[in-house]
Amino acid sequence: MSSFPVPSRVEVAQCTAEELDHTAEIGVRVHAETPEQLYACAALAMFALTGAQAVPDSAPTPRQVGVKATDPESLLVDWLNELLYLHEVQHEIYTACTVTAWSPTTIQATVEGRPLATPPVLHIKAVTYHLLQVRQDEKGWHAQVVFDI
Amino acid sequence: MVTKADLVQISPYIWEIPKSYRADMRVPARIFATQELLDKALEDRSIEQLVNAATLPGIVGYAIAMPDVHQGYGFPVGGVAAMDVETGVISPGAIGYDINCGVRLLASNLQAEELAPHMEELATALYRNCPSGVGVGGRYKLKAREMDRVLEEGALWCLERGLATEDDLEHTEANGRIPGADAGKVSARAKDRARDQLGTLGAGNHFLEVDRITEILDPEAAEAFGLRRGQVVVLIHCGSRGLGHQVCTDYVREFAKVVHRYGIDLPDRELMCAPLRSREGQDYEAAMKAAANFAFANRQTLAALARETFQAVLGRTGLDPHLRQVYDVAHNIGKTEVHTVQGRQVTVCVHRKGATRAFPPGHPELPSDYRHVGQPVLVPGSMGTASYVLAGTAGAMERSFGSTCHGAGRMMSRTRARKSIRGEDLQARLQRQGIAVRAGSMRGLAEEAPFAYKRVEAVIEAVEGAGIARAVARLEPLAVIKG
Repeated sequence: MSSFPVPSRVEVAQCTAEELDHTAEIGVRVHAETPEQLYACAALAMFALTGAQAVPDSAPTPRQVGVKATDPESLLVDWLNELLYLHEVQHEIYTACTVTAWSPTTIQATVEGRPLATPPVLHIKAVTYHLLQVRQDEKGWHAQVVFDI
Repeated sequence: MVTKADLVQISPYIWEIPKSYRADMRVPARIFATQELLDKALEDRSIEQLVNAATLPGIVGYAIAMPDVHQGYGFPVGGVAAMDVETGVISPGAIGYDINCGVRLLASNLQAEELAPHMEELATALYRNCPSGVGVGGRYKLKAREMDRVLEEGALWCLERGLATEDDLEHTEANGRIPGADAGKVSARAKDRARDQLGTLGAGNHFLEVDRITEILDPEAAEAFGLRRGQVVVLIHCGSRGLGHQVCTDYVREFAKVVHRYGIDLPDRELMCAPLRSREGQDYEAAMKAAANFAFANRQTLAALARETFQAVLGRTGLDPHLRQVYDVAHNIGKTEVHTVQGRQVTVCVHRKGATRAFPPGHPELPSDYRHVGQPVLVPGSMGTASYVLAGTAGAMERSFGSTCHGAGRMMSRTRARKSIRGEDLQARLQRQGIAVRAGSMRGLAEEAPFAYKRVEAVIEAVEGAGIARAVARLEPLAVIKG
């Protein structure tokens, strides 16, 4: 499980995330040792970007999320879109995430939702395929994703 | 990357990338711009994205970039592409995630000096009554059946509930209700996201402004639109909220499963599309129209809330609180229209993403009181700078599928804007300029700083120079309400 604070560049034990600069949209680039960490990190980075704050000391609501797609890139888009949907209808922010199973086309995870203390300052409308990347090299796993805002 | 050497200048404000530029282009690409704006457009990927759009199956005429073009995801923001309805495709990414994001203009009977003593109170009351910000729900919670009616009836739904007048509907693009919308093609998730979002502004670059008209540039059209110098008007900029975003997301995913079956090869995955005549294409079109109807109802509800607020604040002052609708127009939409291409009448689906319909004088779709001057086009500038009312022209029908620009167009990323100024400092600066600012988020305010946008005057010069709209009135803000 990795927790994720708010600033634009964050290093946690298992991954790093940085904000991607784009004229009209905004995105993140994440790096991790494993695909499970990569997808969890991307999710937490997305919510960190929104600037939303959870009610302090609120009890988390665990939510099981499962997504299937055709390839690792689509899986990342669908996974993040699934969380955006939950965020918008449940009025929650996800501050912790454990990916329990991952394959190039499926993901199973538990996310911890906490009620919003303040509305997000950045409204992410959707996750796009624009400049989308998921790749692995000798240094680990890397992903890049752009959000429509 | 496309460079200036790849462009052919057709006229002082029109530039062309010939079809020979890239083997997969089906039509040439055209850019409407001043030299200054063209240079800006060449700095990012917007023109490369325009070239990609020119490869889409069934595209006719030209892939077109407006002067306010900037890089989008897949398709540039400020782009227009017309697809033959028989042979072409429909692409959610070429319409945008915020389906029927658009602008509404309401005109008061007041002069700015009359309203000045009440402006601070009015700004606060508008901020309170017209919900803005992310995740901020509105007054109307729609049950399943009501949601389906909104999706299929658009602004007409508001008429039955006393939130609209016949005159409002007459002065809205497509009368605020696009036929062919099918709520059954909109996912339960999309409806869930928007259940409490009717009558809400949302965040980002969406806003409600109280403006004053500082200049009349076309007296005949201004008179037809009921606009005069010094008059107070209200500008509302927002779209279909979470519903439209989810419809786009759903169908991009749906199309990804079938795009290869239709033999479509895409240069960018975000241009995901399906043939207009395919089942998938028809389903998206019906869902997109439903989302567009939700947006018309959303802006109509916000107009009702603005009227209620004017009444509440000004009711006791003896000032006239009435707000008449001038027009409401979409700038992220796909519309079936008939256009002349190389002397031939073709029925096309005009994809406008960050581009506004600009029908000319005499067009049968215009309300009778505007038919002699052309359709009003509403062009919001960046916050704290001027906005414009334009009128559609015959030139727009000939050159840009009846389309023109939609705003100032970003030229600086949000991160850079945020690093350049604090929201609190910007708010203070705008207050010193006499603009009452009410914003939910100081960070959001900084990201929308005026210097992050192109000069709207250059955009207006280009559309007038290219003959795809003419300027009618210039507006300057008195109050800005943002999420």
